[in-house]
Amino acid sequence: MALPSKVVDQLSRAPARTPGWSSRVLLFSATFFILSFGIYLGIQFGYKPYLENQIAGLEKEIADFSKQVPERDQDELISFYSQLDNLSTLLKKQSMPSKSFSWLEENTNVNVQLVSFVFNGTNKTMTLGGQARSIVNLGEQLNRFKSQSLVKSSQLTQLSLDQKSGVWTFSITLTMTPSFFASAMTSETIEASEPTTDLPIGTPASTTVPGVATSSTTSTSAQ
Amino acid sequence: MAFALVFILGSFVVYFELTQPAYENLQKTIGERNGYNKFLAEQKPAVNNVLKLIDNYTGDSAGNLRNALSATLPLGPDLSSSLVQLEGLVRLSGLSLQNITPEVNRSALIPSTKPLVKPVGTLTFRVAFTGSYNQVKDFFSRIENNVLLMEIRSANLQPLGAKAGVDLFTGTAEVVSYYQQM
Repeated sequence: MALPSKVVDQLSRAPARTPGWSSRVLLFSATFFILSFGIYLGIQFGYKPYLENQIAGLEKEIADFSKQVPERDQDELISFYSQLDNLSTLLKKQSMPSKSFSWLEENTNVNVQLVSFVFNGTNKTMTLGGQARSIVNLGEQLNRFKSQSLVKSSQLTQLSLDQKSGVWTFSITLTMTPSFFASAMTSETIEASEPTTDLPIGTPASTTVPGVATSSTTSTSAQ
Repeated sequence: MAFALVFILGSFVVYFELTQPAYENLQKTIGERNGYNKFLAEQKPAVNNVLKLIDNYTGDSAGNLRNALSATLPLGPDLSSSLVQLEGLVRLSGLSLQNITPEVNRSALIPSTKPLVKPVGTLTFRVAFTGSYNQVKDFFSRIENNVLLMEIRSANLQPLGAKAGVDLFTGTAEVVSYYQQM
């Protein structure tokens, strides 16, 4: 049986050409490749030189900036600043042993005579040699030193009795707090006190004060 | 089809061999630029402050201040000036000077832990004297308040002679004066 002519006509016509999947893949891969290469070119020859230019500009700006302060001025300023800082540090640490004389004037028993004074700024110690009219006077003196807040520790290092005069000779080492010899002490402690005498060392107490034996720790004066 | 494969492989090669290393380098460059920017942003106010300070410290009054400061803490050791001042202080306090011995070997530099602060040097002198209690007290006070910064490191005061009640002492004091290294 023969096919209808319409059908024969349809079958004999060539199929219409439509784009296939292979050409799409080719198009996609080509685009991908071009994009990838384009990005590389953009980075390498676009953005990187731009950043490098920026860095060069910043370096120049920094160099120009530092030139604004001449080297000589920089040295002078550093030296000045350094002097101020060093001076401040040194003044804070400076020992003021003269303050100890005022303190001793205030805190020496009237029946005790101090005859020698050794100061050690490194250890913040004072070693005092002296004479006491009696052992009671010496005890009172030691108690007085111990009761002072600025005395860190006290140590009696030598004690002997002179049989002829009946005078007790002693040596005591006082370790003071760091603030004792500092200049700040002036306003806090020393200047607040008003010593009644300024000769605690070397003046004859035991030999010239007759008959005074007790209750002298409350006195702030020394002969 | 073969072209497509070549393009895809080519894309991977370009990405891994060229783009990725270039991007890593770019990150480094960006970091460098940001570092410079940050440095500049921080240094600008600092340099401006320094310029202001220089302006402030270049006038006459600033010159006087600098001179005063250098009199207190000289720039460099000045043995003769220290000696002259120490001798003057002994004389002014009324003490009788026995001797002054500079202890050159004990001179030392004290480095600072702070940045920019230069080391401080010391000149050490041993002073031997005789005098009364008040004179010694005055001498110590003068050293502590002298224009050239001085400090008594140690002192020894003993009665002169065995006679009790005599206000006369012999003493030694280790005195240091300070200077700043140039």
